[in-house]
Amino acid sequence: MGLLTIIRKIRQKEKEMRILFLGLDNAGKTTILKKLSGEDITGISPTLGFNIKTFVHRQYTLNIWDVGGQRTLRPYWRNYFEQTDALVWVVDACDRMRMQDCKEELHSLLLEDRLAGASLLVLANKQDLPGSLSGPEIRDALDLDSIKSHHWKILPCSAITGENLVEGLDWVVNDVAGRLYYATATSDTSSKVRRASTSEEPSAPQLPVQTSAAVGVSS
Amino acid sequence: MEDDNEETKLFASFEKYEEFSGLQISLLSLDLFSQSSPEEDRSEALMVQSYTNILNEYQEQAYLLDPFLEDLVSPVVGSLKAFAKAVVEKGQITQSNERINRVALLLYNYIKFPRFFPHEIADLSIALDFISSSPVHARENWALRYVTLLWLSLICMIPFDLEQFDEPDSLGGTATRIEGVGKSYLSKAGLEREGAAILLSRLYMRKDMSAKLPDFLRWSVSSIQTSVDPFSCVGLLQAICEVVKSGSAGQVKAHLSQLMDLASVVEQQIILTANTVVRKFRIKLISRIILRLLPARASAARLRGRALSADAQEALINAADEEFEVPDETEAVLEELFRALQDKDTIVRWSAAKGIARITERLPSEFAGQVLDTVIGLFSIHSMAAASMYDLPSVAEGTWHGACLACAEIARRGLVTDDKLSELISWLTKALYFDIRKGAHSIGSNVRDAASFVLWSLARAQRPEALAIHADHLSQTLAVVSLYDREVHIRRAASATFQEFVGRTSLFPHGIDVLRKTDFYAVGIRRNAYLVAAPEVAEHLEYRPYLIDHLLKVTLRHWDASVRQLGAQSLRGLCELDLLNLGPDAALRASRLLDVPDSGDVHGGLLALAEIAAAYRDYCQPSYLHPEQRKIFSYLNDVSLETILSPRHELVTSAANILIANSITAEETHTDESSVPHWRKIVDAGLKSRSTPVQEAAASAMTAVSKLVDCSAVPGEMPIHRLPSSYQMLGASCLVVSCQIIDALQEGLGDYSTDERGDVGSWVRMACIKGLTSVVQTLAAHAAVLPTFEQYLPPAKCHSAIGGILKQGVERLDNVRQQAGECFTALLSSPLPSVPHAEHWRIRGERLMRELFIEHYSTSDAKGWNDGAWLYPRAVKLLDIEDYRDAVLAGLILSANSRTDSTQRPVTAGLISYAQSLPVTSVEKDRYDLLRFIRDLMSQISRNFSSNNVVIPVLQTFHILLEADVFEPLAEDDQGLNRYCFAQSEIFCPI
Repeated sequence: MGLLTIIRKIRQKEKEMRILFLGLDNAGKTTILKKLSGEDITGISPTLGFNIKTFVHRQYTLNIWDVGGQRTLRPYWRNYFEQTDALVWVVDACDRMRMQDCKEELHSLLLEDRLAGASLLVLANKQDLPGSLSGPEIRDALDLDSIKSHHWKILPCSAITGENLVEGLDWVVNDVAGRLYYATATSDTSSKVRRASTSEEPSAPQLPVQTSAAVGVSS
Repeated sequence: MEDDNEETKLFASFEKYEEFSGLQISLLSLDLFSQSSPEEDRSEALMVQSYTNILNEYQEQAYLLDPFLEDLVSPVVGSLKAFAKAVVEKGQITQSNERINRVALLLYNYIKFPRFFPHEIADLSIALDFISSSPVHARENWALRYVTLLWLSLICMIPFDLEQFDEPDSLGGTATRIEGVGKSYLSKAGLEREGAAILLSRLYMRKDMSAKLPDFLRWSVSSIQTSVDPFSCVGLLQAICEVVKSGSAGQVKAHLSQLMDLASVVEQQIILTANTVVRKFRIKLISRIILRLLPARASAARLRGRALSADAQEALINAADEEFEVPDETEAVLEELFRALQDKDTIVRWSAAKGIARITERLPSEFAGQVLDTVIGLFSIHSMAAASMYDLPSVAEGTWHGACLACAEIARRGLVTDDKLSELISWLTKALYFDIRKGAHSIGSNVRDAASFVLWSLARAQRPEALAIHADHLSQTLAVVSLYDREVHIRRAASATFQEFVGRTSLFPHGIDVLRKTDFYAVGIRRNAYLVAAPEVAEHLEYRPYLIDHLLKVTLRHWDASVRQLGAQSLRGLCELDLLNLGPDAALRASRLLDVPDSGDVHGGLLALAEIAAAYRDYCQPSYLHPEQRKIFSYLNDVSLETILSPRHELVTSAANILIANSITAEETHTDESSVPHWRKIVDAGLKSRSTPVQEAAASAMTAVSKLVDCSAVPGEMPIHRLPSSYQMLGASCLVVSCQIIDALQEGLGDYSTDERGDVGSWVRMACIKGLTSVVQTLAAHAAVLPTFEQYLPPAKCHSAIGGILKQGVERLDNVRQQAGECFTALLSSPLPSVPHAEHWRIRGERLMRELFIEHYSTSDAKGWNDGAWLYPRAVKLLDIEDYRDAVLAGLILSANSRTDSTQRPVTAGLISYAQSLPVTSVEKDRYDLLRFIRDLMSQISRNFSSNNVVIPVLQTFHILLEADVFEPLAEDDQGLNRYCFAQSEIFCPI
């Protein structure tokens, strides 16, 4: 069993999710992530390449890949698509000039084979600035309603105020967990019920919730 | 081997649900009690098969099935339960074991989801009675037995006292029955053992049954001591492991000494410890015992992650370090686990590694540090005596692999402290190259993979600041491995690790650029990794010297010849980035490989030198590197002639010839000035070799020599017999050609011999066709500078060569014809020599030929000379051209006698229609007629009277022509009739 298999298994076992942050340059991807991790958000320069950040949310570990958005880096996006569970598409809601550009990039991205099934969250960033487009306006501008291949959601947000950032990722986590960790995501509630009903014998071991993923690394 | 079946398809959802549940419904709708006919059996088996196939498609993405499971599993379980009920309560007897087993097989596929099994109180007695009923005992129904045991194990967990199910007069009877069932299956070789182990473990975990655990442990110890049966030992170890893992900690503490006794009893039985699975479970057992004695803690790795919301963040931080007493047993168990890390079997090492890491996670930090020290210490066990890593004994493989796994598991949990990093990383960079030669192959790819695993874990768990000082070294090592490892999975593992470092630490020089060049896909194909990706990465000076170093030290000395070859080519690619500076140094270092006993090293060294020489040769200013070129040639002296000429060193012989071909200079060709006087012997030996690659290498060497020297290749002296490559070489060396070469090649066209290698003659003929073509073309191209062009290539010779090629072009072998056709078309399109009277060399009947073969060739859908149906109707028209008539006719006759239908039919049809179109006699001189046609046929016979290879085909041709009444018109002509009769007498008289 080689490293690539181990990586896959660890991901399942430790309930990891891989989330890709993409968007045109200057959309605010890195700022959002810095805000989330409580870092200083002043003086952020364009991302050259990519950063991986790890967050813990509920029982899940989120590995967030922040990939630079400049045009020269865009061809490299393709490398990062393996095993991507969710895509967060960050839009600069003030950048009306490039909305068409933004729409085309997004739609061509969704054709990627290796993104099949990934959840899509569109963050309409920079809501704190005057003149920014609203969520519904961006939804129309990006023609989100035509997307049938992916679960999607759009949220207006602000990296400066932190508005809707956690809410957005919460939606992502829920949506991905419903797909990847359905058994554990639903049994959280069902096992509580069962435990309540078995209160006569408190030491009775919990029902083993074995999922498809619970194969030992040693196999 | 490369690119294992590509990527498996990614699914977005369980698309085949409808089809899948349809299959299941039809399987469940069958009457489980009636006997199925053989046809039904077949179709039902097919249904199960397609059902399994669908399931297999989702193996990698099993989670997609999760939402559907409840709907899928429930009916199957219901069906099984109804069946069991009917058997138990109504005493119904089934006629068809197959059908119920198929239902059980469906359930077996879902077995990972036992939560959907029914576990009502009433089920207990049904299941318990059912398991002793006859369908369950049928030999082939293993799936049914397994599923029923699991079902029972689940019912066992009902939160009611088992005594409630007992008859009033026999208290404890139910529990004893379940225990009995479990024990009876515990020593089975099949899957039932696993089911029984789970059943028993669930049973003993019950509060009302935990009192029976000591009895079971005693029974286990005595059964291990009395009967040394690995199966039953595995079964009971598995059951106890499960109890220790999932049971209460109190239970483990209460029976600690008995559990440890069990582990030591197993150890004393040599037959048992020889069994890998027994060893694995024993390791699991002892590590889990200790684990349960230690207090649980929040995962350190998780602590490093940041919670999205602030209050959750606080909860994470608050999980603080507490003081506690470490149990005495810990040390002894860890000692055993360290030993098990060096086990000869991978699964044992894995279990030990995971055990050590889990225990370490719960230990106080000082103790944890000692554990890590000990694990790191394992690396040095076998390294003491070995001078370099390549001298390690092969048992070191297990030790290093185990140590890597343990380190990885520890690192992944974030337990490596910064002060250990240096030592750990220095071992890991060695482990990344771990490769021990063992006979004709090597071992250690698992170590290299595991080393990547450790580094990958470190990238995730350590702070970037702590890794900073190691970043350069690691980036170079990982880049080297991701480019140059022999195995695709190691290259990819290293690339994944590189990526993790770049993304998490941003410490690697030019990380993004290098990663783009060495990503998952770029390193997937070895050739691409060596020849495309490596030179790209080497553009960065931080990586270049390490790549070159690795090539010279490792890759060129690799046990796999194809890796050495690619390594040499890769070296050239790297040197070409800065040839003037890199080339001479690389050549000098490569030359040091020549003076060693290992022929593999010599081969690698020669190849590398040859590639560098080729780079010099193709450099924009070759003269600038002339001295270097000579130096490379002189390195040939470092290899003893004996090594090169030894018959079993074909690789070396061929590499030496390639080196000569690429590096020889004009000075070296003069025997008295040459630094390697014996080079001729090497080329000679190469030409005489029976192996085609060696011949080709030697031929290329000869070509190179001939380009430098006027007329050095005198055909008479060359050992050209039966060596196709020699002929090619002659063709290539024709700048200075003499008529002898053409004669030799012409003669080769007549080679029809075969030997044990096959149709050698046809290879020779094909080589000669190519040779002749290139002789004629090259001479014609240089005609202007050759003062006596007419002597080099007399027109007569030229036309007879063309005739010879045409003859091959109409003969019976498709591939020979194709070759001749290609060459001929090339000649047809070549310009005339630029000399006076160039017309002499013009191909006769050029207009007709062009019409036949070039114009039609381009318009018709690219059919070649190998296609008889296309060729022969055209080829017979060549008989119109007097100069080549004889040759073409000879070829056609041979084809007419072919046994291959696709050849013979078009030839005869062509000949007949051509002969029918001929006038009986013709007054025009250049017009062919029937009479002359007969005369020419006759002369074929009279010239080859003793050769059946010719005479019989001619007779065959006559036969065909006669049958088609082609000679009818002759009867009307006196002369014709005469000739006709004469021909007959001519043929038959001698016989």
